[in-house]
Amino acid sequence: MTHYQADAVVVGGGIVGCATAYQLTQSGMDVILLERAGIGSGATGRSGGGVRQSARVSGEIPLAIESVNLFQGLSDELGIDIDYTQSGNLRLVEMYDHRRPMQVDISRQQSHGLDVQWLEGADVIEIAPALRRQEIIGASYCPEDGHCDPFKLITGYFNRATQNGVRTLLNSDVHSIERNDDGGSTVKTQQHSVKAGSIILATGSGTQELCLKIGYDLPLVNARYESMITEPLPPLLRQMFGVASSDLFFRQTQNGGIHFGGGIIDEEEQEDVRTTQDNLEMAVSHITRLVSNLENANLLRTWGGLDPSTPDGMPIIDMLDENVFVASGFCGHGLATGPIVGHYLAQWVIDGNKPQPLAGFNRNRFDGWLQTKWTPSGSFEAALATQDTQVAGKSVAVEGVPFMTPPDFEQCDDEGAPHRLVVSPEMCTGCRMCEVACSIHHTQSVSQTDLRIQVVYPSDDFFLPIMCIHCEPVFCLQACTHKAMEQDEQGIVRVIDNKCVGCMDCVKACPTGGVTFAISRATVVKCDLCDGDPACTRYCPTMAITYRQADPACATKYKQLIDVHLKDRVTR
Amino acid sequence: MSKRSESYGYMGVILRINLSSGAITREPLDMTLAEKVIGGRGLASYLLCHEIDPAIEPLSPDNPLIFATGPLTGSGAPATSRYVVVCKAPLTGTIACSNSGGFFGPELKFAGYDVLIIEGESPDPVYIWIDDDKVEIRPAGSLWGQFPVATEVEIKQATHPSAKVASIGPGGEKLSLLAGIVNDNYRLAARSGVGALMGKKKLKAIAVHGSESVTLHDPEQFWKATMDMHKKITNDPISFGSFRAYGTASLVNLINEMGAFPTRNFQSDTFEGAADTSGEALIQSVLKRNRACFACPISCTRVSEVTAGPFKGRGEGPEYESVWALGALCGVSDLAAVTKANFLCSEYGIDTISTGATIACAMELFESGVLSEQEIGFPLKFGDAAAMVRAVIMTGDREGFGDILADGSYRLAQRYGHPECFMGSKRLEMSAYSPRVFQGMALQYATSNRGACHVRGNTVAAELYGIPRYMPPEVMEQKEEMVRRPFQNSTAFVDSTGICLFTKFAITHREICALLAPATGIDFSFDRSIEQGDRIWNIERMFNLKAGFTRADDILPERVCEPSPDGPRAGSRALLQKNLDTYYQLRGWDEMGRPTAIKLKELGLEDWWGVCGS
Amino acid sequence: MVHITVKLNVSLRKYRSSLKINEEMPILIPSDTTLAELLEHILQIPAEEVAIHMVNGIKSDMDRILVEGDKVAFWPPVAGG
Ligand SMILES: Cc1cc2nc3c(=O)[nH]c(=O)nc-3n(C[C@H](O)[C@H](O)[C@H](O)COP(=O)(O)OP(=O)(O)OC[C@H]3O[C@@H](n4cnc5c(N)ncnc54)[C@H](O)[C@@H]3O)c2cc1C
Ligand code: SF4
Repeated sequence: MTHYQADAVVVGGGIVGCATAYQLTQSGMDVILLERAGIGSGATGRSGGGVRQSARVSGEIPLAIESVNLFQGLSDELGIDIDYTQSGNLRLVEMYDHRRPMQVDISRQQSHGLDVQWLEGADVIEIAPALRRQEIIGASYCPEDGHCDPFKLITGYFNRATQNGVRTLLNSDVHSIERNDDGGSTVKTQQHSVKAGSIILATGSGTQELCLKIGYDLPLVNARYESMITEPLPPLLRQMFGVASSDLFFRQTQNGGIHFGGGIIDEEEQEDVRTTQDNLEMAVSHITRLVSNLENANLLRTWGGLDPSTPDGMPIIDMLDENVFVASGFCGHGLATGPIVGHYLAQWVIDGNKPQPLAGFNRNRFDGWLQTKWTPSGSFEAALATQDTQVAGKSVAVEGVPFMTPPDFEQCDDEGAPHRLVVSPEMCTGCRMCEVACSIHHTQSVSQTDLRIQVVYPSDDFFLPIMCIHCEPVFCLQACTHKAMEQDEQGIVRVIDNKCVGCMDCVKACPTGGVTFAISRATVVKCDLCDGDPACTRYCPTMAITYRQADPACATKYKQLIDVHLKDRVTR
Repeated sequence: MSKRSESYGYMGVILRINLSSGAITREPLDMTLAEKVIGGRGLASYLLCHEIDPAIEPLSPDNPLIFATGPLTGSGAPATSRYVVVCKAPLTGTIACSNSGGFFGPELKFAGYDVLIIEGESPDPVYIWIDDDKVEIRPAGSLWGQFPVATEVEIKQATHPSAKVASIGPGGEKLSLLAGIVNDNYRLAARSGVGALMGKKKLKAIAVHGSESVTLHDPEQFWKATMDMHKKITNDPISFGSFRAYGTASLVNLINEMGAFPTRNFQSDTFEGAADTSGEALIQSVLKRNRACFACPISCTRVSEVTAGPFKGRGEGPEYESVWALGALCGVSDLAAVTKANFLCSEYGIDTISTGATIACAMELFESGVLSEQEIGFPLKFGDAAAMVRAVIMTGDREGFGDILADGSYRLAQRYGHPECFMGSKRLEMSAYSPRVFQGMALQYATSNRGACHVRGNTVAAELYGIPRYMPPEVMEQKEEMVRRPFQNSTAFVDSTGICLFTKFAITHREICALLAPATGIDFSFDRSIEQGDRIWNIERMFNLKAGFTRADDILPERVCEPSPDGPRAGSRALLQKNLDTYYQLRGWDEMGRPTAIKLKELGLEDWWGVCGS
Repeated sequence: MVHITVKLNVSLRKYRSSLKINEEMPILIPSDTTLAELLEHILQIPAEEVAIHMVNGIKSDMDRILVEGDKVAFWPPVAGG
C-alpha cells in the first residue's frame, strides 16, 4: 500500500473529473486524480460529441448556456483544437403529431432565454440538404449549438491538468473513503491510500455503487447508449442532429465519419457497455431513412457506454459530507456541461460556498423520490419534455425574503441531548403569541402578571422571548434557601408552590430572566416545559421557539444574546 | 372599580374622562349591548349616538373621542389587536371610526377597560396615564410638538417602561383634518381626521399599562377554537404567505396590470412607475424585516429603512394604499421618496391616503394653472418626488401653503373653485382601487358610512381574488347584495369583535363566532352575526342622516363616472346610479336612503329617533 | 406561431429568476395555445401556485386561446388593504 497526500483528490477521469482537476490546479491546489481504468474510458470517451443547450430540461438551460460560452474559447485555453463547431443543433420532427408538442417545447426553452426556433421542413432542408425532404416535417433549431471531438476535449483537459502538476494514478478503483479527525478524508484503492482535504467524486456510472459504500443512496440508474461510426465520407452534414420521437443522434466528424447512435433503456438488467444487433439495426435503418446517400457506407466500429440518469433529467452536483463532493447523473448529455461543472465545482471546493448556478442540483430535491421506484425517462431526456416534473419551488422559503426562510437547526440539534426550548430570534416577530399560549395553558386566562415567558423588544427589528431554558448549573435551585425548587431526572426544574415564600432569591440568580414573581399568586413562576408539549411552541407561528433535543451550547448562545441585548431591557 | 369579576372576554367597564372638568368616572358596561352591537366599532357607534346630537360641530368640546376594544381584543386568539376610535369626524362630518392594531388596544383591556370616552377640552396640553385603577391627567409639557416616537420614549420614562402609548403628532396638534392617532410609534388610526379632535382637546397622548387578565368563559373550548383558527390562518397562502412575505404592497403590480390603479389624481388608471414602487421592489430596497401586532401570526408590518440619500429614514411601512397615494396618485415612482413620505406621515401623525390625495389634487390644480408657484412656494408637478416630500412636511407643519393642504382635498378643491378635482365621497378621499373598473368598489365608495374608503367593504376580494366567490369587476348585477352583505355588514361585524380584517382571507364569521362564544359566554352565532353587522351599519347610517347627509351625498366624483382614458380597461366607468336604488331596497331603506320603520323594527332599533324612516 | 409576452409576479419570478420586476418576457408560441398549456407546458409553473391570471389586464379563463400580441400576467395569491 502506497500512501499519498494532496489538497484534493478527484476520483474519475471523465470530462467532469479532468475539468475539475484542471480548474483546481489553476488556483494552485495540489491534486491527485484517481481513475479505475483509463482517462476518458467512461462515458466521455464514448460520447456523441454534441455540445447543445437546446432540448434540455429547464433547470439545466442556464448552465448549458454558460458552458457554450466557455466552449468558444476552449481550444485556445487547452492549447489543442478540439474540433468545436457551432453549426447548430437540429432536433427533427418526423410526424405531424409531434409538431405542436415540439413547438410548445421550443416556447418553453425560449422562456428560459435560449435562442431556439421552429423551422418548417423546407427551411430545415435549406440548411441541411442531405436530409430527405419527405421525412422531415420540421425541426427545432438552436444555431449556437454544435459539436466537438470528445477525445480531443478530454485530452486537452488532461494534458493541461498534468502540466499544472496533477498526479494521476490509473487502474485505481476507489473502494472506500474514510473520514479523518482533521476534517479531511482518506480515499482507498487496492494499492493506494490518499489523504486529502477535499474529495470530488466524478465517477460517472461508478457513482451509485461507490456512494452506497460510503452511506449515500443517490437516485442514479445507469443507462446504456450505443453508437457507431462509418468510414470517412465526403461532407454531408454540418449540424448536430437529434430526433424528437426517438433517441437517435448523429453528426459528421471532422474526418468525415458519420457518428450516430442512441440510448437503450428497456433492457434494464444489462448494465454493461455491449452493443446489440437489434439496436444497431434499428439505428441504421432510422438514419438511412432520414439521410440520403448513406445506404452504402461501411460501418467501422460500434461501441456502447454507460451514463447515469436521475428522475428529473438533471445531474446531482452536491456536497455529500463536509468537503466530499459529488457530480454525476448527467443523463446522457453531460459532455456539453462537463467543462462548466468542473469550473464551478472547483470554485466551490476552493472558497467553500456553493456557487449560485449549482443551486438547483442538490440531491435533497429527490427526498420524495427515494421512497418510490422510478425508471429513467429516456436517454436524452424525454424526447418531448411535456411530462416534465417540476421539483423545485415547493418549499416554504420565499426567495429574497430573509425572514421567510425557516431556521437552520443543524448547528444545535443533538440526538443525545434532552428536549429543551430553542429560540431562533431572527424569526421572532414580537407577536407575543407564546405568552398568550403559556398563560392560557397555566392560568386559563390571558394574564399579564403570571407569565412564564415574556417577549422583550430590544429594538424595532429585534425581538426576543425570555424564559427559563433549564440550563446548567441550576442557579435558581442553588439560590433557593427554602427548598422550593426541585429538579427531575431530565434536568427540568420546577417550583414547589406551597414551599415558595416569594423571597425572589432565585429571580435574582437566574441569568436569563426566566424566573419571575407572580403578584397574583405571591410565588415565583417559571417554565415547566408543559410536561413535554410546550404550549408556546405550538402557538408560535414562526418557529422562533421550538422544542427539540438541543446541544447545551444553544443555551449558552441564548444566554449571551440576553446579556448583549437586555442591558437596557425594555419589556414589551 | 376596575375589571368586573363576572365578565368574560369583556372587562365590563367604561372609563370616562372629562378634560374640561378633570372628572374621571367608571361605568359598568351594559352587557345587553354586547348582544346587540358586540363591541369595538358597533359599541362605540352606538354609544356615540347616545352621547351627542350628530348635528354638532365636529371640533367642539361636545364631540367625545371614544376608544373602544372588542371582546376578542387582547384575548390572544390570532390577530386580536384591534381598537377603534369613534367620534364625529372632523374631516367629513360623518361618523368616524378609525381602526388600528399594535399593542395599545389589548393593553387598554389589560388595564381593565373596554371603552375609554374622552370628553370636553383641556385648556393646556395634557396626557392621560392609565395604570390599572390609577388614572391621571398629566401636563404634557415638553411633549407638545414632538413626534410620536419621541413622545413614547419620554412617556415610558415618566410612567412605565412597558406602557403602551397612543398619541398625536404635530398634525393633530395643529388640527390638521388629515390627522390620525398614532399608537406603538408608527401605527395610525388614520382616517377621517380623528387626530384633529384629539388635538382640539389638547390631549397629546394616552399611556396605558395594565396587569389585569382577560378571563375566558370556557378556556378549553376557546383554546380549541384558537388553535383551529391558527391552523387555518397559517395555512392560508394570502394571510400567512403573501402578507407576511411581501406585505400589502404586492398588490401594486396586480392592480396596475388590470388598469385599475388610479394615477395622477385619477386622471389615468395605469401607472408607468408601478414596478418601481411595487411590493417586490420594496423588499429589494427598503425592507428590513416584518413584525407583528399583538397575537398575530400574519405579521404584515414592514420594518423599513432608507439607508442613504436625501430620503434617508427609518420606520414602518409603506402599505399598499400609502405606496399608491404618495406614489402613483402623485405620479411619483421613486420608492425611497414614497417611503420617506410615509415615514413623515407617521411622524406628523397624518393619514397617508388623504395626504397623498390632497397633494395630488394640488398637483393637478398647479398643472392646470389654477395654483401658482408663488402660492405654493415651489412648482408642485406630478412626478416630482422631492416636491411631494416637501409638500408632506409642509402639510404636517401647516407651514405656508401646507396650511391649506392640511385641511384635505375637498376643501382645497372647493377653495380654488374646482370641486371636480376632489376625488372622494363625503369629503373623504378614495383609495387605491379605481371605481371605474371595480363596480363593487364604486358602490362601496359612494355608500360607505365614513366616506369613500376601501376597508368598510373591500369588494376587491370578490372582484379579483374570488373571495368568497369571483364576480368580475365590470359586472353590475348582484353587486348591490355583494356590497351590502358579505362586505359592508360583515366588515362591521368583524371590526366590532377586535379581530383584524386581514384574517378574513382565511376564515369566516363562523370561526370568529366559535371564538366569541367561549370567550364571553354569550350566545354569538353565525346567524346573529349577520344581523349584528346589519344593525351596526344602520346605526352609522342614521348618525349620518341626522348629521345632515342625504342620498345626494352617496355619490362619486364625475371624473370616475366618465370613461377611463387609457390602459387595458380604457372606456370603463363607474355606473353607480344604476346600483343605488337596488342597494337601498336591499338595505330596507326608502328611495332617499333612509331606513324604513320596518327595517328599524327588524333590527330592534325602533325607538331610535323617530326622525328617520318613513 | 404567435408572439405574446408574459409577466411573472411576486414569488412566481423564482421560475425565471433573471426576470426583473414587472418585466415582460416575449415568447413565440404555437397558435391555438391556451393559457393552461402556456402555464403547464411552456412555463412549467405548478398551477396551484398561481392564483390570478390575466390576459391584457383582464382575468381570463384557463382555456382561453392566446392570440398575437396578448399580454399575459400571472400572480400567486396576494392581497392588500
Ligand atoms: C454513447 C454516448 C453518447 C453520448 N453523447 C453525448 C453527446 O452527444 N453530448 C453530450 O453532451 N453528452 C453525451 N453523452 C453523455 C456524456 O458522455 C456524459 O454525460 C459525460 O461524459 C459524463 O462525464 P463524467 O465525467 O461524469 O463521467 P465519465 O466520463 O463516465 O467518467 C467517469 C470516470 O470515473 C471512473 N470511475 C468510476 N468509478 C470509479 C471508482 N470507483 N474509482 C475510480 N474511478 C472510477 C470511470 O472509469 C470513468 O472514467 C453520451 C454518452 C454516451 C455513453
Ligand atoms: S410567539 Fe414566536 S414569534 Fe411570537 S413573540 Fe413568541 S417567539 Fe416571537
